[in-house]
Amino acid sequence: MTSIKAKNLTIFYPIFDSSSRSLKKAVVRAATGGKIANDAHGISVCAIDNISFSIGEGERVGLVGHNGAGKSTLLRAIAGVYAPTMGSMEVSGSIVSLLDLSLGMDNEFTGYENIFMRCVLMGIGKSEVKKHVDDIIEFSELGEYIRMPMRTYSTGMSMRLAFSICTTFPSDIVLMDEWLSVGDADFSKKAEARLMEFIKKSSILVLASHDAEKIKKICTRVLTMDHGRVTEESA
Amino acid sequence: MKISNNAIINEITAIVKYFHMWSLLGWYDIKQRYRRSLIGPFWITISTGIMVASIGLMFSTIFKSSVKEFLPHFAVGQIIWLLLSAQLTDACTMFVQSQSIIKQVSLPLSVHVMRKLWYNIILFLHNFLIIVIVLIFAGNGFLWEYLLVIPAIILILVLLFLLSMILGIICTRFRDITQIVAVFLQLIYFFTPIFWMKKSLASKQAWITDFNPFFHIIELVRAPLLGKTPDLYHWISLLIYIALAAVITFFFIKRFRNRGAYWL
Repeated sequence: MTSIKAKNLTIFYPIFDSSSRSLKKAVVRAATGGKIANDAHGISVCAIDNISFSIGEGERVGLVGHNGAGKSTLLRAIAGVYAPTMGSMEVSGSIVSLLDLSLGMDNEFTGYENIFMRCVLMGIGKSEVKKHVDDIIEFSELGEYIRMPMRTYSTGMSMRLAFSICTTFPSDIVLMDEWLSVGDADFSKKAEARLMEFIKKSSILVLASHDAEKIKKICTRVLTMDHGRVTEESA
Repeated sequence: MKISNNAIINEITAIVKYFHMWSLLGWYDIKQRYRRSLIGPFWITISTGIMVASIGLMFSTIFKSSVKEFLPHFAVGQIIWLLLSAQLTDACTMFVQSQSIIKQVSLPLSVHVMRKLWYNIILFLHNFLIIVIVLIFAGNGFLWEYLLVIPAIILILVLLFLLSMILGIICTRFRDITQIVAVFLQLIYFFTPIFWMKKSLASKQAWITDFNPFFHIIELVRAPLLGKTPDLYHWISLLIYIALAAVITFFFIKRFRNRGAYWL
């Protein structure tokens, strides 16, 4: 059973400037005891404020809200990157987070090497990658360029490669920050179809987006966030 | 924010489970560093080789000891030192360096530690060639004592893993520690019998080496390679360091495992 359950989820971000991060401050703080207690834990921001929800199989959830409403933090909390400060977050099922498509890819490496680099960070083994590598290269339309270092690619080309890799291996839960659209007109049509197919294979989608139309088209449920709270929920 | 004991066990089992991940990442780090160079990581063999040969010859003259005695002593000591200091220095910045990964994918911290450790092991193996050459030059032939190097190096790697985890976590929170570690390592190098020999210390000054963990660690590899069985107290010291480091690592993971991502 794939599911995401958040109960009273609260996340505080500590904000460090160079001074509160320094050892000197910590030592002085320890020595002076309560005197500068206000400063004791620096400033922290409440990014997620007591949210509870539960997402079950087959749901396509859209997260909307202003910049800084907590959408990306919530995605990261689902991905398990940010542990709850209070409350709990339980996720069952494999997760692929498409927050940064080209994670781990390096310009000095060839496109081919980068396929392995990117895949290993998604937890996909070498033999599994080898099975799909031709498909990835074909879809990215890079042809002979795949043997060239990625620094010779245009931005569009690297994005096409990253996109092809990320949409090859289906996962139970897909996390996306803004709907992906890559490449020129022709490619983006093809990519859209592939992305739809990719999402269809997944069980849960959580999409943070400002594009109301896209959300309306794809999502079965919308959570509106403001200042770290869910202010509105609609189907 | 409490961490279950399960999560701590996961950090250990991850070393096996994520083998394909850290080995590939570490190897790609090497590839990236030596990209477009003809002989790649063998540059490190060459640069260490030149250093070992020239300093070895020079200091054996200054200290008036025979080259055949001093050179192996210095070569082995220096190369083990390079492994220790490189790994400890790198450990301070490894989580910060991998922050884009840490902030997107939830992975056990040990994956990042093993990535760096693997990187430094590969460099160490390239340097190890020099030890082989120097030993051939010393002309002792094969000695059974050499085999003791294997358990010694394995234990050293265990210790390095634990220390790296501790340093990695502290330095992510307090960026100043990175600099402190660098200064400390620079200093301790001179207090460790690497380019000088313990026998040149008067017995009154023996504490300089007795309280120096790096001496015990290096001696465990160096003594067998020079044809001596290392004293038992070196083994005991190393095991004590490992036990201490393991306890601290345990508490650090328990307390700070989940804070790391917020500190980046």
